Amino acid sequence: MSAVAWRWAGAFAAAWRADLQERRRDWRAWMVVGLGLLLATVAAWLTATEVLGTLEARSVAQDAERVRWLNQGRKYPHSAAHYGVYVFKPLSPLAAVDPGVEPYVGSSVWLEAHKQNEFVYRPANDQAGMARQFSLTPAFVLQVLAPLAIVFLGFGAFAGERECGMLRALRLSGAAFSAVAAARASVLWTYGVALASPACLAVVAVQWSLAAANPFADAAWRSVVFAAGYGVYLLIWSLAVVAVSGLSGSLLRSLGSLLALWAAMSLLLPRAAVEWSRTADPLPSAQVFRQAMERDLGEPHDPGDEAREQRELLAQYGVRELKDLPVNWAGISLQRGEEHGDRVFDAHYARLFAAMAAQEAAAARIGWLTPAVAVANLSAAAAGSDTAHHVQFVLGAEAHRRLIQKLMNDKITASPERNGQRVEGDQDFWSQVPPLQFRFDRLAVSPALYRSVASLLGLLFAAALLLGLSVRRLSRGALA
Amino acid sequence: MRRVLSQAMWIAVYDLKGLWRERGLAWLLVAALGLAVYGLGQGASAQAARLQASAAAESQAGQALAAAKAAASGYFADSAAPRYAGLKWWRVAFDIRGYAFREHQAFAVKPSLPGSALAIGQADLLPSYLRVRADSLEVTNGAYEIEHPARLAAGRFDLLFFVVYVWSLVLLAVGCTVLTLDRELKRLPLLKLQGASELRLLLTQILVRVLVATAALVAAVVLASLLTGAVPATGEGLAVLARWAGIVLLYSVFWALVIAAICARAAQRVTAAFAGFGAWVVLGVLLPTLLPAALSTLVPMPSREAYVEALRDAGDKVSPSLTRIARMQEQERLLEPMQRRFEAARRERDERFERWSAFSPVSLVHEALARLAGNDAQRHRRFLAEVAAHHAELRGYFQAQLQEAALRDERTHCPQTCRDGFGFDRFDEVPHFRAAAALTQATEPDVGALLLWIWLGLCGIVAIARRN
Repeated sequence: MSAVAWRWAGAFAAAWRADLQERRRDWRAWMVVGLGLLLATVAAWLTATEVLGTLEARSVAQDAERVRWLNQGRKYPHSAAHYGVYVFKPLSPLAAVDPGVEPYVGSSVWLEAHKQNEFVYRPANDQAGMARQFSLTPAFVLQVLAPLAIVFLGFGAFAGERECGMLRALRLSGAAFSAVAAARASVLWTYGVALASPACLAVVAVQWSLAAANPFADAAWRSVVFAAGYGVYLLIWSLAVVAVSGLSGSLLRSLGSLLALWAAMSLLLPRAAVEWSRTADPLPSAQVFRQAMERDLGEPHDPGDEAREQRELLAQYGVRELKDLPVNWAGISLQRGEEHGDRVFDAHYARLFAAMAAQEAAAARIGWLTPAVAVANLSAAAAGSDTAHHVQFVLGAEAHRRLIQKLMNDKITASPERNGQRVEGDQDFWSQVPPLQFRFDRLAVSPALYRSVASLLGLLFAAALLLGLSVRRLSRGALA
Repeated sequence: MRRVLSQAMWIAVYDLKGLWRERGLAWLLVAALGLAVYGLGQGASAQAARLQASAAAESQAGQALAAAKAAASGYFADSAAPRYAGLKWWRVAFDIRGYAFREHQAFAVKPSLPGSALAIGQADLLPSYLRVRADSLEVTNGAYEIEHPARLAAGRFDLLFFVVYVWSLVLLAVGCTVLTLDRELKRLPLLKLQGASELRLLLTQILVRVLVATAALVAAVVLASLLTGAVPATGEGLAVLARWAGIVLLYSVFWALVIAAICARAAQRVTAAFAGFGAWVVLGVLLPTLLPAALSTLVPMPSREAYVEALRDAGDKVSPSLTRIARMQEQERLLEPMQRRFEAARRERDERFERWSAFSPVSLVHEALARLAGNDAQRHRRFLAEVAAHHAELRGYFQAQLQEAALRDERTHCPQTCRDGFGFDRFDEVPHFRAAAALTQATEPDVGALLLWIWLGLCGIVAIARRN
């Protein structure tokens, strides 16, 4: 390391110590950090308790469903297909920090014959209306309140000294402004990161108490991405706050500019982004969606196709009537109906999910303007609580439904009716249906990851550039 | 008294002239009004989408009814025609079984109110229409409108959000220089020498600034609402706008008093801005966030997973010998204890929210504006209760018709679904949903506690000013 670099590092360390020491004496810093930590702790406790409670309830319900399925008694397999099973969405420990869209999507779905049912029982429908505005979660604390704490702690970083005429004294000390600015930004970042500590504890607590399997194959990698995303997010704010403070002529202007920036970035743009994204690919109303699907489902058995297939089958086995077949036409017919339904469901839901993905991509473009949107997308993606992960589970549950239908229909197909006696399944047969063991895709294949990382890094570069400009202005003597 | 009023008027005039010279605040106000109109636009567009979806649903039901009538008239005119030979009873509307379980299409639509565009509230979360089917177990529990979950999670940028969160910030920016700038420039003693007390200077300047800004907001919103048709230019529409303006005015006065309390003590503008924004965070973000969090913790809802299990248990207990509708009725009867647990928890939450929101002026105003627009959860629950009653009536009707038809068929040995058996053509007799008169009105907004806050604020400011 060169002498210049050593000198710079020395100035950085000295400024870091001095800034931290000064903040220790400042009651406002204690108040902001104390209040922030208190809120972060309450938020972490609330969400961790809720996630644990939900996971336990889902685990109990899922086990009960399995017992119910196995003990449904002897019955015709198609009756069992209608009896169906409920499956419940798994949650990751990271959902204790960022519940994402979880309160706004159904938590369970009934898998039965002929229908791809919708997920039901959205937790948000049971909440008070105010919860729609802001929900006290660690993600809210980190995405909205932590930057505000950084603004409160840092708006005077250079503006205060400029107002008191102390910037000249700072210059006389010989310390590089870049080192001082970097040190002050890093102190702010440290405070911001401190607010994340209760969230980390919540994740550890949930992970520790987790009875169910983690729904991620790459849980460690996701945790790293999650932590790094918030680290970069808080760094962007720390750099921006010090930069704006250095560029502002007075404390009031610094505070005013930073609060306006915070309100725009954290409150207005994230909402404007999702409103704007509606135009990217409008979603149909539920009534239009269901009507179109019901119309396409129509009559599953085209009489012409059915007759042709029956003729082929009779020819294949060399018999003249369906009742003489060594297979049961009822099973084949039921499976044909299922496959027709599958094609219709795939077409309609694929269009719906594609429209949702297009809206997400459109909203993510605002992530280039505000880190709040970028980090919210990254955080929910890493926690498995974004829409894309929900869709993954919807598709996983549907695949399981189709597996059940296939097993039931194959059983019927393999057992032709003799003397009016229909085949019946028993516990041995029901146990051939495996329980749903769902795991989310690896995060590396998520498009949200790349979009958010690119936006965050772009904004980090922009914040660093702004700080560079601010330091350059200070170094060139704009001290008053 | 006249002297005091005249002095207050001169203070106000000079203050406004001074502000006018500072173009920054004027631009801030213009930007804020732009955001307000944008929020109104979002509410109007969401309202239009809801109305369109509801109209499409009603049109679907109308078309299905017309098709059913046409099919029945064709069939009963010549039921022996070859085209009816291979019919499956469950796929035709002129067989009561087919009509009751498949072909009957009806929707219950929540009436829209004239002020709907003023707040999206819970309208994007809670559907404005529901399909009511005789063979549905849960008409009201799992029906949702399609909405992007991320949009629901992020919250909406509507006029309600603007008023509650952004407008209060604008008022803080407009008011935080009152007295603090005079103190910084050390001209306060000079002003006092002219006979103006600190309290009079403070209240006059802040109230005038806030009232002028609020008047501009109300004028912009009322004009935009009427010109774009977001709120109908009828007596009802104007009444809603007047009530909206009243709530906004009270809310603005509340914030004016918060700013006044801060400016009465703050020595510098930066201190006032710091404290004012801190107050905004506490009153606008923390209290409204802690309120539902406390409610969820102290009044937990039973888990929906437990509900699913109760539903399944009830289904297992129902005798398979019962008819289709009777099975559902029995299953719902068995599920009642669980439903009651949910209802009790929800009621307790609502009651506590009513009581506790008195401690959070922002929550009060949020709820009041959502209620005024008719997009609050309470009105939706009233709608659901009416839909549930209608659903029971519809099932009762079809159950009776099915039983009667089965007996007729047994008596007459009708080989086909002819009129004397399961045949059905009395479509106009089928009950359809009509919203009760109460549902066509908004839940009464309650801002009484806000008046109390305003009174307390005034007392506090007078006390601070006297101490100064």
